[in-house]
Amino acid sequence: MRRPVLMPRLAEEVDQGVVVTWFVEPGAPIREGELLAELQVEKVSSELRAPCDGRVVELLVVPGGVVTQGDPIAIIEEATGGAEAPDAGDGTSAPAALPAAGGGGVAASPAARRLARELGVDLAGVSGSGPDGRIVEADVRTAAAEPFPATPISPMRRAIAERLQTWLGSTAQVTLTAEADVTDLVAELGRRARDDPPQGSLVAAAVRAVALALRDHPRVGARWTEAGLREPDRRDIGIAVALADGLVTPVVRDADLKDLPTLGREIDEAAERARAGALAPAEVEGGVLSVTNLGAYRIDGFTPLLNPPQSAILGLGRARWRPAVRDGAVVPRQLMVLSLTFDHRVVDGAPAASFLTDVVERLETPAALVA
Amino acid sequence: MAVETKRRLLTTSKAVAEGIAQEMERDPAVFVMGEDIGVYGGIFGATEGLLAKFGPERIMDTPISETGFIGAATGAALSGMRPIVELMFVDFFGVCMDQIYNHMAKIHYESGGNVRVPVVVTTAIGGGYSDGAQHSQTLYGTFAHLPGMKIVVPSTPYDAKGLMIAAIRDDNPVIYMFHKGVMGLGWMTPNARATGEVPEEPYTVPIGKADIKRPGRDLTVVTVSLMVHRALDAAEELAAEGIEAEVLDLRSIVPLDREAIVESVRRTRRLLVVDEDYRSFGMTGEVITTVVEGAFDYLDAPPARLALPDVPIPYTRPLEQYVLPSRERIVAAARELVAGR
Amino acid sequence: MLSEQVQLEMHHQMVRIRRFEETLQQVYMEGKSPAFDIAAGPVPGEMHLAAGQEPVAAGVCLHLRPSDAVTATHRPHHIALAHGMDMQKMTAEIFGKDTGLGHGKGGHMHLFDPATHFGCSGIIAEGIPTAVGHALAFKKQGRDDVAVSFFGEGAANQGAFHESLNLAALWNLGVVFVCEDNAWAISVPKERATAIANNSDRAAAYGIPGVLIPDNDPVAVYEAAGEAVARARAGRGPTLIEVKTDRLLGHFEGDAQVYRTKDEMETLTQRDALKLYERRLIAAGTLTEDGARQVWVAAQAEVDAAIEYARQSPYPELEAALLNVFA
Repeated sequence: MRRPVLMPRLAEEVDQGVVVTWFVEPGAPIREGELLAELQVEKVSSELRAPCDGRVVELLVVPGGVVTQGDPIAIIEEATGGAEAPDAGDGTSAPAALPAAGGGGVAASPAARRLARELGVDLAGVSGSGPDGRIVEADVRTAAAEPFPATPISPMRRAIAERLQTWLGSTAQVTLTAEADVTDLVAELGRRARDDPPQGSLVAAAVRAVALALRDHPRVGARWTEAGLREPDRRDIGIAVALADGLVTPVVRDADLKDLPTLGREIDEAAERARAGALAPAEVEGGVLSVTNLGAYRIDGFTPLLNPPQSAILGLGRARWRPAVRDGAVVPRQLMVLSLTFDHRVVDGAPAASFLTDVVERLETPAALVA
Repeated sequence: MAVETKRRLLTTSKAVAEGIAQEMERDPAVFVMGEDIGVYGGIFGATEGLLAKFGPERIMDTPISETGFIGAATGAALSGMRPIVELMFVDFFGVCMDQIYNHMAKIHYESGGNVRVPVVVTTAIGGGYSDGAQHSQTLYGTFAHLPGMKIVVPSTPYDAKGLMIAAIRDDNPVIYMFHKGVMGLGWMTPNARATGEVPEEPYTVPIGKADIKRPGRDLTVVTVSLMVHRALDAAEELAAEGIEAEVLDLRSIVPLDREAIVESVRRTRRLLVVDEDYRSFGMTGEVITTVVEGAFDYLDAPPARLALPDVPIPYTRPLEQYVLPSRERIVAAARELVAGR
Repeated sequence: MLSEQVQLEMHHQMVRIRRFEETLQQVYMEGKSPAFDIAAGPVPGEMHLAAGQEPVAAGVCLHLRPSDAVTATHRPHHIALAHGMDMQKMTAEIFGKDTGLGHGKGGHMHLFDPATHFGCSGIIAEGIPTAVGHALAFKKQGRDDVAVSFFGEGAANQGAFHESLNLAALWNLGVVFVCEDNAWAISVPKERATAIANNSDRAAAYGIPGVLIPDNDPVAVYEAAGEAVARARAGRGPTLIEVKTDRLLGHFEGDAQVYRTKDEMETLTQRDALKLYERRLIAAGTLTEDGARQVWVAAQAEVDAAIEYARQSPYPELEAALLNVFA
C-alpha cells in the first residue's frame, strides 16, 4: 500500500524547511527506522526515518528544495505481511569490460618517436633493440643512417622468412649431392615430346623418380612429431614455383601412381595457377617432400632449405653436357647434379644417401621411369 | 717560480657557521635561537664559535620549547628582526609544526603580502649511523608539500655557506636542512666530500637553482644532500665502464629548479632520481612528473627512482644500510636504465 | 580614579564594538536562510563575535600605542577595533574584498595590520608565542614597546601557553598575557577543562604576577592593564591578567548553543557589562542619556559606513590567488 512521507514540523515559528540530503533512492528497499533524509528548518537539523518496512517509490523533492511543513516529500510502498527480503538487485554486475588496448602500432620510446618524426623514418620498418622489442632512439638513428631506401617487407616475404627461419632452427638440415647421367632420359623425353599429348619434362621425371624411390625409402618422408616419427602413406610431392616476390609450393597428389604425361600436365597446371595466385590453401598442404628446380639457371648443386614441416627436399641443377668417363674413355654426357637436403633428426646420412642413390639410378634408367 | 695558492678548505659545518657569522657582522637584526646552539655550538656544529664571537644576547640557548621559541622567531621577524632558529632534528617537527606551517609560512600570504616573516629555520636531517626511526629522517616531501616556505639542502661546504647567506637575506621563511653526514663532523663516519673549498668573503648561492655537480651524456641522476656524494661516487664507477652519468644537485627543493631538470634530461634522455626520503608521495614522484611534463618526447627509457622504502628507519646497521640508497644501488640502477630496462 | 576622558573613551570603544558585532551578526546571516549554509552570503565561512567581551578590549587597548604588538584569536574584532584598526579595511577583509587588510586572503580570523602591529590566528594558543617574539625583538631593539597576547581560557591548557609564559619569564620580556575567560570553549565549560579555578594562579608557576578581574568591569581591567603595561615598558617583565568576561552570543554564528541554559542567557543579559557601565557613567554624571544615545547613533553610523564600504568594494582578481606566497 502506498503512502506519502510528510515534512515534519520542526520549529514553532517557521513554516518552511529544507530537504538537505536523501539517503535513499527510488526503488530502494527500506526497513522501519532506517535513515531516509536529513531535513533542516532554520538552524535546526533533523533526521527523517522510515515509518515502516517497504520500498521507496518516489522522492518528491530534490536536495536543497524548500518545503512547507506538512507537505509530502516522498512516496513509499509499505511492505505487506512478512518483511520482504530485499533482493540483492541484479546480482553482481559484471565488471565493466576494459576497453580494448588501444593505440595499436609499434612500441617505441618517446625519444624514438620524436626522432622518427624529425627524420621521416617509418617506425614500422625499424626493428627495436629495447626490451620486448621496443624501438629506442638508437634504432631510429641506425635505420635513418642506411644509405639505401628500405622496401617495405611484404606479408608473404615476412611469412616465408619466419617459417624458414623457425624450421631451420628446429631441424638438423644436411645436404647430399649426387650426379645423375640423364643423357638417355633427355633423349627419351625428346623423342616423346613430338607425341601428342606432350610426354612430360625432366622435372616431372624427377618427381616420378622421387615418388617411386620414396616407396622403398619411406623414412625420408617421415615427420618428426612428439608422438613419434610418422611415415607417410602416400607420395604427395610439392613442386616449388617461383613467383614475382616469393615462392609457393603446390602439391601433386599420389605422384607415384601417375604416369609421366599426367604428372607433367599437373605440374604445368599447378605452376600456372600458382603464378596467377589462384591456388587454394589445400593445394599447398600435405606434401611429403618437395622438389625445387634451378635448372633454368647455370646452377649445379645447392643447399635448398626444407619446406616446413617436411623432412626432405630435392634440388635439381641444370642438365649439362660434360666430359664423363665410360669404359675407360672420356665421352660427352648430359650430367645433372641432385641436391638432397634432409632432416638429420629424422633420417641419418646413410639411409638418405641410399634414397638419393635410388633416385639417381631411376633417372639413369629411363625405360622404367617413363613407362 | 709559480706561486702556489693554497686552497682554503672548510668542512660543511664550519662553512655554515662562517656564513651565519658574516651575516651577523653585517646585520645587527640577525640572531640565533635554539637548543644547545650556544655553548655547545650546535649539536652538529652549525653554530660553532658564534657564542664567543657575538655573546649570549645574540646566540641564545633556549629551553626545550619548540612551539614557544619557533613561534617567537615568527613574532620577532614580524617586528623587524631576522632570526635564525634551530629545530635540532627535523624529526622533531611534530611538536611545533603548527608554528612553522600554519603561522610562519602563511602569515605573509594571509596578510595579502603586507607583512614579512624573514626567518631561517636550521635543522639537521638524515641517517645512516644507526640513530633509529625518530632521529634519521629527511622529510623533504613533508615540508615541500606545504606552501609558503622555501627549502634549501646544501651538499658541499661551498653551497652551504652561500645558501646560508642567501637564506638569511631572503625575506621569506627558509627551512635550511643540513645532513648530518655532510657536515664533516669528527665523530661521524668520515666523508671526504664533506670538506671543500670555501671562499673567505661572503657570497650567495641562489635559492631555487640546481647545480650540475658532474656533467654527463648517458643519464641524469637528480638528487640532494648526502645522496649527491653517493651519486658522484657511483658516477666515477660508471665512467670506468663507459657510462657517463650527469649528477644534478637540486640544492633547493622549494623552489624546485624544474628547468634545470628538464634541460638535463632532454640532453641525456634518461632519468634516475635518488632520494633519502620515503619513496611514496615525495620528491622522486615530483621530479619524475616534472620530466614527464617537460621532457616526455626526449625520454628513451622509463624514469627510474631509488628511495627509502615506506618503512620507519630501522636501527640495526644491516637493516638501515639495506633501506638506504647506496653507491652500489645507484650504479646498478644506472646500468639498468642505460640498457633500456 | 579614571579621568572622564578615559571613561568616555572606553564607553565609546565598547559601544562601537557592540554595534559592530551585532550588526555583523545580521549581515552574516544574509543569504544563509532558510537553511543555514555556511558557504553562502556576503560573509561566508565561520564567524566568531565578541559581544559581551568589550571591557577586556577597551580596558587593555587604551594603554597601547600603534607600535605595541597585539596578537589575538579567532574572535578578534573587539581587540582589533579597540587597538585602532581601520574599521573599513577590517570589514572589507571580513567580506573577502580586495580592499581588505589582506586583499581578501586572510578573512576574519587572519587579520594582519602593519599600521597597528596587529595579528591574529585561528589556531588556539598559537598566537601567544608570536607575542613573545615581538617582545623579544623590542628588547633587542631597545624599544619600550610592549607585546600583548589575547587568548581564551581554553588556550591556557595548550602547550604553547605554558612554553610562552616560561620563555617570557625566563628572558624577562615585556609581554602582557590577557586571558579572556568567557567560561566556554565552544561547548565545553571551563570547570570541565581546567584543573584549577583561576588561570591567573598559573602565573605563579612561571614566577610572574597574575591578576584576576572577576566581574568583566572595564575600569578594573583598565587599572590592572595599566600596571602590567607599565611594568612591561619598564623592562620588569611579563604579567598574566585573567578577566572573567561574558560571551553573549554563540561560539560561532550558527551555533544553536544547546549547551547553554535559558537561565544562563538570562543572567548574562542582566549583567551585560556595557549596559551596566553606561548606567554607572550616567549615574555619575559623566554621560547624559542623550549623550549616550548619540554615542550609539554615531557608532551605528560608523559601522554602517564600514559595511557599505565593504559591500561596494570589488573582489580581488582570480589570479591574485597565486600571488604573495613569497615576498
